[in-house]
Amino acid sequence: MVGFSVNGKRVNLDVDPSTPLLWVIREQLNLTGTKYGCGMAQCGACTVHVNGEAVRSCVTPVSRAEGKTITTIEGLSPDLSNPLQRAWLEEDVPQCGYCQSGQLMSAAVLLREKPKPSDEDIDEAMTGNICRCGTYPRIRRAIHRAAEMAAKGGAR
Amino acid sequence: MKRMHFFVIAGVVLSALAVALSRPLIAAEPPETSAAAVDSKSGDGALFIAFVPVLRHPRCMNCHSKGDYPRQGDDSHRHTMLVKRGPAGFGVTAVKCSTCHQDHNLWDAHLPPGAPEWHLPSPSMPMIWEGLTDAQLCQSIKDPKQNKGRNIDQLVEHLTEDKLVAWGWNPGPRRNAVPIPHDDFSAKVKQWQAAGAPCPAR
Amino acid sequence: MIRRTIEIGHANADTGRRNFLKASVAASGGLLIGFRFPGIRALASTLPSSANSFMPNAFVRIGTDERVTVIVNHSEMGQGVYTSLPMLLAEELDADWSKVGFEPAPVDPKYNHPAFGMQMTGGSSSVWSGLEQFRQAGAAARAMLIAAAAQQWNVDASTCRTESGAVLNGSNRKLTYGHLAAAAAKLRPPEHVQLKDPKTFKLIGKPIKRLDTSVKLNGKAEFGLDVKLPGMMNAVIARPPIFGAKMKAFDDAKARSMPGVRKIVAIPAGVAVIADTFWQAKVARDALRVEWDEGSMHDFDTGKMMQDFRERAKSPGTSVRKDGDAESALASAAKKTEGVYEVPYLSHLMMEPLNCTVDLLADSCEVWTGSQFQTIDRANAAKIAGLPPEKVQLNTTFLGGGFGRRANPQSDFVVEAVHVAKAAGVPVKVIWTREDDMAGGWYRPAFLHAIAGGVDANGNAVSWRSRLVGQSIMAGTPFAAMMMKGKEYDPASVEGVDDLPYAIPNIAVESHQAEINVPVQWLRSVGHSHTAFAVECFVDELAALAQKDPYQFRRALLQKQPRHLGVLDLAAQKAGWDKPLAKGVGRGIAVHFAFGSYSAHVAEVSVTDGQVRVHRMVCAIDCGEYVNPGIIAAQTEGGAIFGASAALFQELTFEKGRLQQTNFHTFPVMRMNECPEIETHIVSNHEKSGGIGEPGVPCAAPAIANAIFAATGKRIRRLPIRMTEAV
Repeated sequence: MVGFSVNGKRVNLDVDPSTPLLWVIREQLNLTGTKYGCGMAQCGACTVHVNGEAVRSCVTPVSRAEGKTITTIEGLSPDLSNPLQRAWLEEDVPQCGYCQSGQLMSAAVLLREKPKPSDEDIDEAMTGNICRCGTYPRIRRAIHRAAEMAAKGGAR
Repeated sequence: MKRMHFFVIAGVVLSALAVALSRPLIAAEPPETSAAAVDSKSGDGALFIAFVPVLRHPRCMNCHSKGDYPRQGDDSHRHTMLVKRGPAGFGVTAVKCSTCHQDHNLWDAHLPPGAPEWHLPSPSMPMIWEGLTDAQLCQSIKDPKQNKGRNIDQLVEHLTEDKLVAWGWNPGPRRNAVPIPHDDFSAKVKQWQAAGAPCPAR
Repeated sequence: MIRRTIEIGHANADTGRRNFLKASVAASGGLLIGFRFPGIRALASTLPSSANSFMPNAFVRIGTDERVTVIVNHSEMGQGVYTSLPMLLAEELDADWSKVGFEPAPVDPKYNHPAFGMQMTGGSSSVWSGLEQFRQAGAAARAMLIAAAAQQWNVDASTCRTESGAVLNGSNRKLTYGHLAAAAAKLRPPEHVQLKDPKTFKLIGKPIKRLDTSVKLNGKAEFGLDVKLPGMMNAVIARPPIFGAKMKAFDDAKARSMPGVRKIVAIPAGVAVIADTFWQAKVARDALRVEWDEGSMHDFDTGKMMQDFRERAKSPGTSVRKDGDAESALASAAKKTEGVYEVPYLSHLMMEPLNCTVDLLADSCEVWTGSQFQTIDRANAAKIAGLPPEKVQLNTTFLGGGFGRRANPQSDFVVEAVHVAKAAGVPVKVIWTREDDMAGGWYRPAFLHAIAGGVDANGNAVSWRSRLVGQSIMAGTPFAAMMMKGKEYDPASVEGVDDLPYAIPNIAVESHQAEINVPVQWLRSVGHSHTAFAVECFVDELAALAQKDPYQFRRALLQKQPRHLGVLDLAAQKAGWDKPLAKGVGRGIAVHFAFGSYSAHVAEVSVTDGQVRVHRMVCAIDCGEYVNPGIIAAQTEGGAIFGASAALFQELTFEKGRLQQTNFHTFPVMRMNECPEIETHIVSNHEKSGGIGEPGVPCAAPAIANAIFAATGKRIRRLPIRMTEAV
């Protein structure tokens, strides 16, 4: 058994502890917003938060989640109110949208640690997240915009 | 991607020592330490040179190289994805070491290797060995101002027992391990310790 | 996600394009078929809770709750069709945009591509092909709503007007579309509709925000990979390590006893492991021992292949274009030069690896996948299921990128899933690992272009001879007859060089078709993905030969091509072509026509220690009359990044028949830190609408390569760019 909290809910699962967290989240917990892209921590589509830190769930055994707090894209905000989601909407960022859960989860850690990130900070935080559609310029603008929103109004 | 580090034991205490943020990243000259006195009476440093290939192997050097970032592979190329050392040696914001690296190796080659406390030396004490002579390297690892405040006993314990250091002997599928068996390495380090941890003269 | 039954209005008649408006009235209680879909229909939150809706034609449904649902016959793979096509309809309907949603169309001939005669998404054609269709559909619905209101008020319909989801009459009468839906459903659709004067457009031409963004920010957008059915199992397939290899035997002793494994079965695609979860299936698949008959490709080597291409290019190929006498003009040119350009096989590398979910019953089959080829995928699924196509329900989910891969002539990822479902006996989802996806073939073919050209004593280009060597993407497909009709070459191989726009009096274009058993197909921008690179780099070489500025050299040769000239000038002007650059930075330019649109890029590049850094790209695009400039900018930018990724990083190579690349670490994609500043400038005009999904791609590689020449004096003749190979 592995027990942890996901988006505020406590779960206990009978699952092979070596199973990647990604597949437990997707298949056992039905939280399919977290995506599979590479299975080797190359693309970032599977990024979730483990105790608040960005983690590539495709290479993270579910055993690492034991007793921890997991946040997935579904838990970023219940109503798209996170400044990042609002900024993503305003900049019309997604194209196919497949990578965007991971992009948002990485950006969330960036803004927590660096509320006013420079372009260099954005490069450092976001370079592990691939977007094949090429939404990088809009992601960059949206992160800056979210930082401004958060500075002005805090999280709504 | 690999690394050795030298501060698990005394990290907290010694963070206070990390006053020298402005310190140059590389000790260009052998530091003046009390250890220098030991060396002067201990010959040519052959005991140190006997295990130095381990320290110079990419499994170790890739996190003890120049720059504020780790390296990867036997060619020691810069770590992809713009991975940085970060304020404490554990990466930055959304790209921390633990974002990808687990506390153990994974099931296949080219997956992030892992060991407990996977990280780089902190920027306050970056332990950059690249470009050092054997003499400088020896002085460097013995210098408490550069090795997280370890005395020789603590240093030896760290070299021979630390789990992240030990990863160099078990780097995971299709990754070359350091060149000397772990038992031999430990024995050589202890011989060196017993002889007073002598460093090469130059 | 729980499977549920949703009813949607659905007309039953197969109608021709011209009179599709007439035949497809379906209203509440009318023609409804059971339709199970666990995904984006519901997420678009546009479905009426009951069948209380007005469906004047196949493309729109108006609910009594005021919701306007546009049924979109093209797949959403990032290019914005779930927004741009609804905009067309909503414009003519005068809908309240805040009430407009989308729904993927089921497979039905009435949703066929008007130009291509089947339901599909590709060729950057969704908007131009849907322009008339969607506008007419909106206008017809509007006319019926007006008629319903006029009847109710007992006034002449011509005295009514519409605005933001309501019919108005005089100064105080107003009925919303929701109120009118039931009454309108009883009316006959109009024979003719009057389309709006473009001057009165409220939506078309505006950067309207996409309708599918919110569901892509909270995890609710359902991609093929996310489909889950009750009792569903997951399958992973052990696939041949070499193209054409056949399974001889397999040993599943270990795999069979692994947790969750339900069945292991040989299918034509390989050996399928069916298990409760993906991970169980994957781990067991990796534990299989399969013996392969390696077939004829066991020695295949891309290095040797290119050597062979080089040899073939030394002799004339099938003539594709012949203006004047290129050979004589070359012989008599004052100065001449040659360049051999090479591009590798490329993987589409959609972020969402291929997958397909199938629920096969005795007399029906339901498929969920991100398809670009609904008609063909359904037909191919039906063949394997042993059912008529009408018994196969194919549900199009969101596509996590398509780039052409999900338009496979053999429906490879669908067909194999039906085979697996047959064996499974329960609903099953087949997932390709990234490595499976990359090794699975259907690549952009490798190509070699040998180009020779000459200029006269005044530096005027007098001769151009292109010889191409590469595989046809059409040969052997059901499209070969149609696309290669009367031709001895594949038009998709030579597109972008056969229509060389430069005013050069002597032009010869020749094609050598290579026969190699590597499956190839269209990848975003298709032939243009390599022809633009070769052509635009060689134009630069000719400019250098003529000792002329590359921009001005192009200008002089494009005087009779106003739209080429328009984007070329716009890009050059916005980039500040004549302005000095920082030391070490070079500027390169390229212009190209593809998919009905004109594109030009200026790239600013520097090279440090052999590392190429693209600092800035200025893109100009003329796609004629456009619908959503926000989406056009996104596609142009994304196209430039897609092209730059290929130019800088990407190559598939084979040794002993085996693919050498496996995942993103060996087949990299441009990342945030490598992404240049990109500006897009859109030409406004009233020309016929062209495509936008692909035209942004072709110019990226030549603009970057030409900028490298400007910065370093070295020519790039092979992709991906490696400075060690520059000449």
